[in-house]
Amino acid sequence: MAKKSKSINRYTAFDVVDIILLAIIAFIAFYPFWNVFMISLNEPTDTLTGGVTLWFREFTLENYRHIFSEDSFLRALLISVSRTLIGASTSVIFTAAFSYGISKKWLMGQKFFIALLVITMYVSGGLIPTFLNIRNLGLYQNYLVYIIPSLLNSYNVIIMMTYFRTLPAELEESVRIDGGNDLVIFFRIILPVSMPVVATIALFNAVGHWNSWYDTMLYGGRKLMTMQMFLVELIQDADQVRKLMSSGSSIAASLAKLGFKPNVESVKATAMMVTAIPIIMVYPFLQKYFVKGIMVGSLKG
Amino acid sequence: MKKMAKFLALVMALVMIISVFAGCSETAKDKDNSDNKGGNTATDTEWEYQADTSPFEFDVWWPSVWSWGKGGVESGWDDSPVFEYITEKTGGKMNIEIPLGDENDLAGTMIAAGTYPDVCVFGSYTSPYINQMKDAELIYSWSELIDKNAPKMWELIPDSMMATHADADGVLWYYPGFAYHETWAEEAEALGAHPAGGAHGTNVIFCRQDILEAFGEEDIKDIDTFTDYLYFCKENYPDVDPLKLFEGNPRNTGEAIFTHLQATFGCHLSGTYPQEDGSIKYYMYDPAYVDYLAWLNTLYNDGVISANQLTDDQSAIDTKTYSAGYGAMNGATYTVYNTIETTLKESFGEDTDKLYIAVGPIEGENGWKTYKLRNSGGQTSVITKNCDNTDRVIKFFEFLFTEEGQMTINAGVEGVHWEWNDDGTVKHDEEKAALANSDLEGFTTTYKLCGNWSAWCNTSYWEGLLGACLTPPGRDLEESEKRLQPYTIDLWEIGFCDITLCIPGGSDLDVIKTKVEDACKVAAMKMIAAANADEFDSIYKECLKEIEGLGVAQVEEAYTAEYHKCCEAIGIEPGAEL
Repeated sequence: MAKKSKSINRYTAFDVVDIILLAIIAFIAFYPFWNVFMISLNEPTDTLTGGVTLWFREFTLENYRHIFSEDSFLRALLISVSRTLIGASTSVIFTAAFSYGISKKWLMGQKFFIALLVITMYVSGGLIPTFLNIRNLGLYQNYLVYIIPSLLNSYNVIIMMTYFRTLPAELEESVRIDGGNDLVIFFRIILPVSMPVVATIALFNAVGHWNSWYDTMLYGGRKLMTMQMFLVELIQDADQVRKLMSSGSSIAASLAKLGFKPNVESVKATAMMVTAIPIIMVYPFLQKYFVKGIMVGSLKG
Repeated sequence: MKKMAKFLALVMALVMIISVFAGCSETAKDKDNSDNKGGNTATDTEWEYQADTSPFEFDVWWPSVWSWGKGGVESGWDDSPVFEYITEKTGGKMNIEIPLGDENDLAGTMIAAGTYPDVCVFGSYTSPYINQMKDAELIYSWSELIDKNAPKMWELIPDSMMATHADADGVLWYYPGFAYHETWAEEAEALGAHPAGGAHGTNVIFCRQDILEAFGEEDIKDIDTFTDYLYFCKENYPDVDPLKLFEGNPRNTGEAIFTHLQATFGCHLSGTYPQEDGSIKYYMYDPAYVDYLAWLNTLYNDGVISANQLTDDQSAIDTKTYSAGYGAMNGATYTVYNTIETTLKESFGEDTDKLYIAVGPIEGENGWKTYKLRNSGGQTSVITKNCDNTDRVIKFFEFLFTEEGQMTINAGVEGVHWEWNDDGTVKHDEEKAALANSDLEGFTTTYKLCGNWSAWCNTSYWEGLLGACLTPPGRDLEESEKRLQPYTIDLWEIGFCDITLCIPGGSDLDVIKTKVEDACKVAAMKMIAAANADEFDSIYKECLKEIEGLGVAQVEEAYTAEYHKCCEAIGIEPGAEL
């Protein structure tokens, strides 16, 4: 026993090299994010002179104030958060329910539904028919356009269906013996033991909703602007002014006199932070579901 | 069971195929004009819009609203004296949708799906979508609607606009805001603008003050001295790039700006290579342009231009600009003396000598020239065939184009936002003028002016009213007048009326032109970086061979035809005044 504890506490040369190498790789991966964060905290005028790397030179929250002070920012944030929460949760429920159903080989039409699912993975209607479909369904510039089209995703269905098939039939049988019906089985047994895959699918959907901007551009409109689109516009507006100031327009002279500082880099950096930090903060809360075992204590005897 | 499954699968497949065809076959509504009230209905009214002021609404799709105008548009039509006044006069109310995203991302989908509203505003009259809609018969021509509903409106449309924008049959299919007309400068000054119509403030060479002083000169007026200055900068200031040459490529991607030094070497200001026989060749054949590239190549091989400079992106260029990282640069007076100078003083202190001062122009063997700024037109509107009340819409625009309409959308409501002075200039409300000088976005949002209407503004009213409202420019105007005014010519008066824009966007010829231009840009960069004269010549010859294979002759034909058309319009002989 004494020999074993000694070998655990002693680092070998390999361990040291390993740690150093991984630290370097981690730094290389993390540095761009850190640099962007530092630029977002640096005074915009000072950022223009370049050279902001590991630490800010002139600390300011002006960049964040500039973004948060926009009137439409709060609305965009609300829409983004709500669609992420509602979209992810409804998508998980619908995906799980559908996947659970077609995971049963005895379901009538099971192969037909699976074939239908697989076909949509290879063939889509295209941009224009999809756009027309959205309009004809009354979803154009309707909040539900963020929810309904993304309720079911073929890839997620296959992932969940495969997972549900690995669950032992004895779980369901034990509930039926106790008098439970299919709904009880699904909500009280299947979903709880499927937390790893549910969490994974929820996270995929949440990230997808959070980052989505193309559907906003095509179907959402200004009143349903999400945060991603808001930030895209902010950057485009800053760039538009910079380009205008390179032209011969007299209005550019007006803008110049108002001391407008066309620092697109600060705007971009702050925009990246505002969009990335919230979703990064979600990951730790779901981490435990990824590593937790599923079958511990679920079936006795 | 298997048979049932197969049958169901077949039915599903048929349904999907049918729905695909049904979805794709929906076309735009093909409305005729039968519901339009044709003819002149005015009785005692001067203009057609006055005959009917009953309320009506129409929808406008406008992705290219200027950023500082969005607030005013987004806040809606109500609760504004300007909007109320316009509605009172015309009955009309615009419902403007500013879609998210870029016009190029959205327009194609909108057109293909047939979901365009009554009026669409595109970023430029050269937008390929205008031609697409016209070819697909999705828009009415302005000519047709004006002739039928408001013929007197032709008095409000200058002949120069028709000469530039009407098609070969004399039909105007779109309306471009800010289109040039000959008397715009005088009209603007009459309203109270500062001297207008002269050389714009761009295209001035600036040198860093401390370096210029160390060089021993107060001003630089010729290419040899300028070249010596660049070498001096390289030898004595190694942390500074001697020359901010161009942004992205040697041709300069600015809207209508011609790089200063190309004019020094004698390149034609039109961006082409005109011949004495009246034909137009592509600029790549111009020996003056080749000399310009050869000069840059010499600077490159001597280390004055670094390899990094050829690949600097906008971010790197901005960083160097705002940290006084260039020994000399080309810029606009109002940018350098305001934004850049302010930034440099904040970074280096109020007493810093790292500011930039204007020099030149840098004259070559044949002197130097610049051209008078003319704007063929900006944001452009079309009236689509989804519009149900084209007669009211065209009359609405009739009001906007009248003097009263232009004064309203540029200055506000008379008696509320401005008044006439005895000398015919405009006296603006002080609060309004103060806001315009401090917060342009707040100005447009509060008063619903300018940015809300930029697609339908007349240049003279815009410059005369907004320009008069703002604090008069100081040093930047003085430098423009000193460094540019004496060298300014009017390209249009010698037949070069934006001839490089004559090729319709999105057409096959436009594709050829784009490919030729790309080939020339790549070749120019390679020529600058050539190791020796032989490589330089070899790259040049390969470029000419490539563009000839791409069809540059067709582009030249189009330019020549446009040049001849312009010459004929102004009554001069092609090739006579180059």
